[in-house]
Amino acid sequence: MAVLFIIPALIFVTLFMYYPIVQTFIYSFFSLHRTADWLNAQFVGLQNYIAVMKSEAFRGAFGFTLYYTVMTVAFELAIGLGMAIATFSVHPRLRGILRAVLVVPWAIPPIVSAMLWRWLFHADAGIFGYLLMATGLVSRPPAFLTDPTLAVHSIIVASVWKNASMMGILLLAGLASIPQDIYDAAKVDGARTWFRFRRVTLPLLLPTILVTVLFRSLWALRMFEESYGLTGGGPGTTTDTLSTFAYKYFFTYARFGVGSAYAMVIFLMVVMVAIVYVNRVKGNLRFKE
Amino acid sequence: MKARSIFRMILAGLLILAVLTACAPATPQVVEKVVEKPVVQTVVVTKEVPVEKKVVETVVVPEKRTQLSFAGHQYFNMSFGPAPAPLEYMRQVVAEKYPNIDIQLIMQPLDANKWHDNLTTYWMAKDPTVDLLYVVGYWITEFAEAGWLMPLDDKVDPALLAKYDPAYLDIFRHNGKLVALGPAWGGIGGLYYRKDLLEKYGLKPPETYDDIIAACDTIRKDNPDLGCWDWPAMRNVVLVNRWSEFLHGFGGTYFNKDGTCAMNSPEAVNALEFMTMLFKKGYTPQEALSWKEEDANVRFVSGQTIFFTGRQDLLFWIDDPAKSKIVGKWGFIPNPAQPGGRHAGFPEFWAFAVSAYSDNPEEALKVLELWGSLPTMKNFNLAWGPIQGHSDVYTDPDVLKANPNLPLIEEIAKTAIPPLPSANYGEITDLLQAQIHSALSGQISPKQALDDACAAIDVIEKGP
Amino acid sequence: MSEVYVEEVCKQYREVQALDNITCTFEDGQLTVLVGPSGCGKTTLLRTIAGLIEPTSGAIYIGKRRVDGVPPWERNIAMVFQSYALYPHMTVFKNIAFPLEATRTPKDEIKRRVVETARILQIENLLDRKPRELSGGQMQRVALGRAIVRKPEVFLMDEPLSNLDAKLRVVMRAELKHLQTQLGVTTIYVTHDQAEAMTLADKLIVMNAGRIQQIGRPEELYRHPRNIFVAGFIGSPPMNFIEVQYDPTARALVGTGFQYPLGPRWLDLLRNRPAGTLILGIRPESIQVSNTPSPGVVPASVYVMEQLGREILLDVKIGPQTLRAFVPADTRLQMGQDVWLQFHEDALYLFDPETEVSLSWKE
Ligand SMILES: Nc1ncnc2c1ncn2[C@@H]1O[C@H](COP(=O)(O)OP(=O)(O)O)[C@@H](O)[C@H]1O
Ligand SMILES: [Mg+2]
Repeated sequence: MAVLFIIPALIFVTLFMYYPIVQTFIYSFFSLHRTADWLNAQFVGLQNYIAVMKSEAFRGAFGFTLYYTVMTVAFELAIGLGMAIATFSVHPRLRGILRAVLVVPWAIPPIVSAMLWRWLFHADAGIFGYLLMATGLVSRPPAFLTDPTLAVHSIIVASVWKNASMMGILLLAGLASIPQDIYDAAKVDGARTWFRFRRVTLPLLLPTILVTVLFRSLWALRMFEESYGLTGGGPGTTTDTLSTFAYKYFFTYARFGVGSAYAMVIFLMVVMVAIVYVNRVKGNLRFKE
Repeated sequence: MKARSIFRMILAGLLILAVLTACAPATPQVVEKVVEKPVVQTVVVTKEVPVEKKVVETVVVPEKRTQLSFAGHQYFNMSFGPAPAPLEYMRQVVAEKYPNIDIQLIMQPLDANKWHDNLTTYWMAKDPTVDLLYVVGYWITEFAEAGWLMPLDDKVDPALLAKYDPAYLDIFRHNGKLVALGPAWGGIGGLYYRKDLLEKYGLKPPETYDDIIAACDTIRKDNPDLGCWDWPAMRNVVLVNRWSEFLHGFGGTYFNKDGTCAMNSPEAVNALEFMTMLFKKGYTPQEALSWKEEDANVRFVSGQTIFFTGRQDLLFWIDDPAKSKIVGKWGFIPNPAQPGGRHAGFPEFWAFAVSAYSDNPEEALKVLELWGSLPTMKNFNLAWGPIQGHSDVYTDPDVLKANPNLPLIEEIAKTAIPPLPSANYGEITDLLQAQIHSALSGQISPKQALDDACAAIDVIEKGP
Repeated sequence: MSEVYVEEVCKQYREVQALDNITCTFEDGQLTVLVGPSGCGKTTLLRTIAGLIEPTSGAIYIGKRRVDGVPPWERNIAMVFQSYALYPHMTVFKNIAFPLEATRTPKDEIKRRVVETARILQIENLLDRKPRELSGGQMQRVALGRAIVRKPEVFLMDEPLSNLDAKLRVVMRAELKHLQTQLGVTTIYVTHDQAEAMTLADKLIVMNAGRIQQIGRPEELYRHPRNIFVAGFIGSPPMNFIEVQYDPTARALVGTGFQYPLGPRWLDLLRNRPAGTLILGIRPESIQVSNTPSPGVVPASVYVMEQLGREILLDVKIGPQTLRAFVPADTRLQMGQDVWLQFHEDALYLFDPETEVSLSWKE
């Protein structure tokens, strides 16, 4: 049977991909500081997990990351969809150019775009502060990166700017894969623009949307660079993200036990999000085959 | 067929998990290494051959060669003054004295946090990749405690050690043992001020923090758009550096004699309350909470502010009219101190060390001595500017010519305070960054911030 | 139900003139077939009528209303696509109901009409299925259902049967014709298959290279093709064409190795014509083949024989030119054998080699 021939590859792939997870799982039950030698370390049971659950900073980061994920993905979807439809509805010759323009923000390395946005949000030289002052809405530039509420949303704006175009590109590909005949059929069937969009375009695009949203959400849950580059996690700990925890505990503090517990908790949360999501949308992913 | 559908399910599961694995954090095995290609040593011999044609022969030296790798950043390939880039010069002196040793640069990120994390990752894996390294003073306790740095006292030529300022060497000692030689270059924090403005209002350079406030109140009465005091307060390593200057300036210390946290003492709380007040009352703009060093630098040299706390390396270009609007209008003095406190400058002193896991400790030591000697140290001064630990650098005529501000810097270098002496430096400063930044941005009270910090620090240091 | 009138419509793509001054009428209640080789502009014309393509110039009327510039969803038309273009995410019921929902028909009426339509098309048992669960023929019926449920003014069909296998195509062709007659809706049907066109059409419009070649009932086009193109396009196998010289003094057509004396009808038609080249056309079914020579016949030799069962399709050579003709299935012939061909004068067509127009053509 063909399956037999695949088994060695399967075992290899499994080990290769899951070894880190297994290792992290084991570490998370030991007290490991500046050493990864768990065989000679003290077994501490669930203590590392208790520390994680008790950590207020972790809860804060969890809240921010979740809020960030929901907001960015929602806005990126709306804007990306708008961009995709706008691009799709122009002449095919213009479409190529527009698509190239769309890719630009996404092609900029995250650290560079963070620098760019630091500049835009800058109190003295930033364009946003300047514009708000010019309209007379404010007397001095708002503290985009140092006021807790503003900082959170500044990061969201910068992320949306960067990633909406990626969403746009993916959705554009989804739109282009819908046969032209179907749009035409809907037109001659008497459907007006909005009706067509709601009843034909959107449902046919739904599988693309769902997959894009899933991947983008998993990506957003790992967000790190935007926060690190724009605010350094500040003001205070307002914009600390989940993924900084495991990183810090591993690399800066060299506390592999607690760090592993953080990693496992985050991992399980992400798995849960993914499973719940996939279960919810399963039915919508299937009509095409 | 059943087997097939089971197989498909396994595949799908694998696929989903593959996506998720990508979401799990990296484990410490993964380290990014940027290795610079070593210069291949070739000898080119040109022979005159009678038949009017020149023949060029390339002969590769056949002897056994030793590769030493050195962890440093990209600035080693750059020079900002009248001398070759340090790495070039360092290779040159090695090639002259030890032609069989090659130096390979293992490029480290400019972000010192990531650099730190790279080094600890090598060592925890007992990786002999790095032989020689460039380390900053505040890493010393952590690295030495873990036994990652080779002790140098009885291995380095005593005559060379005698040339070094003992106060500087202390920064690189742990439990009395020297583990790094330097500084080869150092940054130290001091107070920059607008001499022209202070003189105009008949004010003396500030001695105390209160003097700064008073000076600002006087000058800004006529110049309401002028900033008072800028310093980088983004939540990162530099924030803790600046904070320790305030802490010592108000008479605080890091730890009590018994090793418990002293960073919530009344003096320490005063210091942080003063810092918080600066933001609340607008002496320091709130945006400074998102400023890195370069943001604050730019504000001062463009003449937007009266006072500025930063490192001495600004002196390198503060009188360059292309970059600075305040040429000749500035002064640079030690940081202020309240009565009972000390003028404190936080030192970022970088030195050379040998990894305990080096495969070639003998050769590495030889090279370390060579780099610690006057010619290399002088080259550092001319390429990057001060501060160097080797005392002969300060009497060298070339150096004096290239660095007119050297006496100023020497004055400020005397105010160097030791970095927080803990093997958990990274973890503790990380915690302090968050707490201090929370207080400065008005999210918790300074006392609360420091009490919480100390409670946590005592646990980190002593265990629960 | 209304007549469709297209007036001087042109459509220019960058290099291609897809429609070149098209004027024609699609009579009320009739099934008109647009036929022509692939790329001749049939789809373009159909989509222009649908409103999916805006013409470069010209006017289009549905009934009394001028519709160019009116968006497709306001033209009250229905279209069946070659790909069926069913909505893949909707059930058959929803697919058929879509045009009614789009025009805000009350719910209970939608239900009633969808069920009635499904009954007419015998797809009542499929209403809950999704398109991917249907066979080609079933999808075809659903597409038809979606078209007829609205009772539109005009049906537009773009090669609706060409995705079906040959057998089913013939069945559906008949059903379609029956349905159209029953509903009596003006129908414009596009196909490149002349046999399909001949069987379905009340009226045929033959197009080539963006122009109308001829309009007429199927048997009209067969009997009186206007030009070489129509003569060659309509009929299977196509009409034979031979280059001949008209010799007024000999009162005959002269070809390679033969002379064909003309009768009074042709001499009358050619009265004013000087000597010169003409194209002679003769349908394979009008050629009589015999084993023995007789006066006025054309000598030829057998080249290929194709046994069709009912008869034999013969390729014969006259000099360098090949002709096709039918002989009874039991005829004994051999490759290379000499035969003699007889053309009946009435079955003969003559075309001007310059204009390609039939000499017997009268407007
Ligand atoms: N969108 C278009 N852009 C450019 N040329 C086109 C376009 N659509 C059709 N054409 C050209 O117009 C001509 C007629 O096309 P079409 O109406 O599709 O032919 P048919 O349906 O008869 O096969 C063809 O030469 C085709 O290449
Ligand atoms: Mg077509």
